Amino acid sequence: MVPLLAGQAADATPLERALVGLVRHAHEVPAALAPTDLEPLRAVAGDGALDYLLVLCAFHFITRIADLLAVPPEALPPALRRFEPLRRLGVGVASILLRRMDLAPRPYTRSFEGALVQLETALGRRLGDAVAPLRPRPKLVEAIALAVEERDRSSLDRAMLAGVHRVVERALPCSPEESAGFHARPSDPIEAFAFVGTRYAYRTTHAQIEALRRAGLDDLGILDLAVAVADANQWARLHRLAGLPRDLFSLGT
Amino acid sequence: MPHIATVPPRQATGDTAEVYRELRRMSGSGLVAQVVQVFSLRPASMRRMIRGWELAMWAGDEPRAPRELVAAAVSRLNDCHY
Repeated sequence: MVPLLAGQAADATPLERALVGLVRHAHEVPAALAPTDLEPLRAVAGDGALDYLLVLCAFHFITRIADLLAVPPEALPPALRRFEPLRRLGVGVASILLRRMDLAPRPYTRSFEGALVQLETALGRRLGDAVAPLRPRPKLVEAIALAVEERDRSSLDRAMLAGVHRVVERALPCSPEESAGFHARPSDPIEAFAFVGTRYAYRTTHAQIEALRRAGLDDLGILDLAVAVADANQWARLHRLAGLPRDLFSLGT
Repeated sequence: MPHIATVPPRQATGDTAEVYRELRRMSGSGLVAQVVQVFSLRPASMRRMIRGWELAMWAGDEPRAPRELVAAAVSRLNDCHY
């Protein structure tokens, strides 16, 4: 993985190079992404580029949920992985569990029109051609509908969600330096949570969670805040790379 | 331990227990990922997480290995502990 990310894997395939190039670009400069950034991947994967785009966005969601809420690792904690026998044992157990899973691709049977109805119902309005770029892969339309439905069942009010979306948008790195460095975070605990969750979610601290509780959020509120931050981060990449209107999901426009 | 309360599979009842069963059917194993359990305060949110995971990693014709490459690369660059 490390040589591939560093562009030093001599035996990498064109698909692997295109995938890693897109992942790196979407990590370093998400604020500057554009549909043309998907073209190198389209050149080798065709419309499959949209499948991989969905994986990329989904893992910007999942990794943030994991870090913002301190989800315990399935395998050994990082501190124990330093001990080689324990690390090998952990890898062995993980491989046994993965072998028991059905990992084969499954057909996606819904039509574009069917997924579009779900999204339009969630939004309460017709969309015209707004999501036409996703016509070859309607599962992305369903994924957006799921995010809109989740946003609308949040225990946080619309004004707070709009504020979170604005903070995420402002915190998106415009340069590789911004995606890696330390920066002054907002003093408001909710804005600070959204800022850290966007720039470097792994730095989320227990003290930040306690500050959220003092601000009046209970467990469900903290879950909904983490979901709002994670969803805004996946949407920031999806709408830019797929060429979709930002206000399809974002409230803070 | 997560920052928020969760309902583990053994303590789940009603709709929460049903969502855990749906997850086992979807993944084809008894493994209940911690990142799914963290949504267990609201079964509808847990159901969304599972379906989103299925859409990204299973649905469609693209092979699994390049999808795993993308997932691992995003996790690595984000320094995700999970």
